[in-house]
Amino acid sequence: MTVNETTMMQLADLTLTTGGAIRVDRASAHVMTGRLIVIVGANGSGKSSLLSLMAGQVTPSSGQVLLDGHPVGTLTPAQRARNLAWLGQNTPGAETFAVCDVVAWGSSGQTKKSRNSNLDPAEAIELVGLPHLAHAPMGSLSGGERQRAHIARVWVQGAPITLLDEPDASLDEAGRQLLRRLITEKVGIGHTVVTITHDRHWAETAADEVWVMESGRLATQ
Amino acid sequence: MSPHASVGRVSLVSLLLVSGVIVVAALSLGLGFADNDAQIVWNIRAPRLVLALIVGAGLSIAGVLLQGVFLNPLAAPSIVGVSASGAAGATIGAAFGLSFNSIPLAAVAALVSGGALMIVRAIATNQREVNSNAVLLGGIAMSFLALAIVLIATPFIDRAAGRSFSFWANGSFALATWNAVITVIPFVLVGSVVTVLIARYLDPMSLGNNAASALGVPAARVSTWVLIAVVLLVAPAVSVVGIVAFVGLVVPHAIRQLIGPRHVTLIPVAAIAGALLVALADLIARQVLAPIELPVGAITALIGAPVFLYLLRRMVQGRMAGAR
Repeated sequence: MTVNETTMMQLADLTLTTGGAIRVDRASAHVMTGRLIVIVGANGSGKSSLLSLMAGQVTPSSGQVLLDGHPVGTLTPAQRARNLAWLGQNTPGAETFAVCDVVAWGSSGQTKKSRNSNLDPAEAIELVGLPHLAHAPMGSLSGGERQRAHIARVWVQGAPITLLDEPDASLDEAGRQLLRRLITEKVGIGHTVVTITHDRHWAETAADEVWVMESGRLATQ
Repeated sequence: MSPHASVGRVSLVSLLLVSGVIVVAALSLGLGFADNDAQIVWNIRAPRLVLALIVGAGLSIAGVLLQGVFLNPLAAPSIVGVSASGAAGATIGAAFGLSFNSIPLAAVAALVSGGALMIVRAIATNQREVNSNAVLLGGIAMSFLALAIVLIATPFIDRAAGRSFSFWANGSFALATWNAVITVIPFVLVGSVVTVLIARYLDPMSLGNNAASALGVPAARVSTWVLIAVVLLVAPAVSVVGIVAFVGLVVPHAIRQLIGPRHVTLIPVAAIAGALLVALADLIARQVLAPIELPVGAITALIGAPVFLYLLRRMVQGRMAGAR
């Protein structure tokens, strides 16, 4: 399959083996502009490993991830951050920093131009419903509030591709609905969101593409 | 409540600390001595004071850096094995005939300490993320190993140099000279310059390597430069005064409580506070049982070990992730 102009990322025969176990087995796919891609699969099926490979955080055992035609592993962190935002399942640390600090870090890898056009940290905090906690230390927040702050950080980053690893795991129902609305809006402005979920119903109703992981194998629908 | 202090508060804390340094310096240069012979002040008390200030500042900056990149509020040079491996390097170098208070000996201490720290970090790292508990446990094991080397190497060192195992394990400024000051300054200077250059990256590094990297921070490179800075700030100092424990643990916490966690302000203010604490500890070590002199590391451990236990308790209760 040739890379056309709407392909933002290409996964080419990706394999990841750790500790003798195959986490991702020859996965291939294209990530196109303005799509919501939802990855589903059982625990241990390789969803997070696939996302880490896409984020360039793990080096594949074989195959490669191309971001805008360039192997993601060869890009500097700053180049990656301008194209790719990533939110892990649990983000540790920053306990003594204020929510507004952590959210503002989203713009740390941006150029001045993109910083001006992207979402302002204060707006992002408002967007995730934490304006009353903007100056509170992260360590004083509940798990769900912390996750909202990290979502705001990723939204401030404003990258055209956003990778989310079970972002709704610690959110309550209201938080989950909010996140889904934000994702829909993001996709609506032409960004691509790739997210992992265990909510198969939402995946099938909302996603443009559903990627199913099973024992490291990727099937796209 | 916001974890950040206003500019006024940061200035006030800095001013108080600088005032404290001036008072302690005045007392160190004059207190407890019947005569104030200029030779004694210049050749004995002044280098001792200057060395204490430099060592204290270096240890505190190193503590801030370690707690930042290892995501562990209990990380400190004496806990992750940097100090003890520096002492091991110094005793190995001395056993092979290198002079005390010399740059070659300080360099050997830095090399051995750097190697030890790289090993601890490598053992504690999995998929680019550092396991903060493994860093501490690895550091403790490395400290025991390093102290065993110090014990074995000490008998091979010229006894006339007056550096026993206790000197290395507990620290002392009793043998401080201007030579020692001149030996340490270039290392601490380079370590401080490296710290200034990476300081702007340290705040997002508190989210861990992967999240920081995703934000555009060159996390792997910053993390390596942090370790280099820590080694330069600590190991050469250990080669001249031995291990002064817990300074790098206590000071960053105390200052973080007062002025907040932002590294750009935390680092310089912690440096002043560390200088003050070590100079004060040395003053106490000299004066409290005069004419008997206590090891300065015993004074800092008396303050630091209970603080460590208190912080540990708070961590266990889940009320703190402190440094981060």
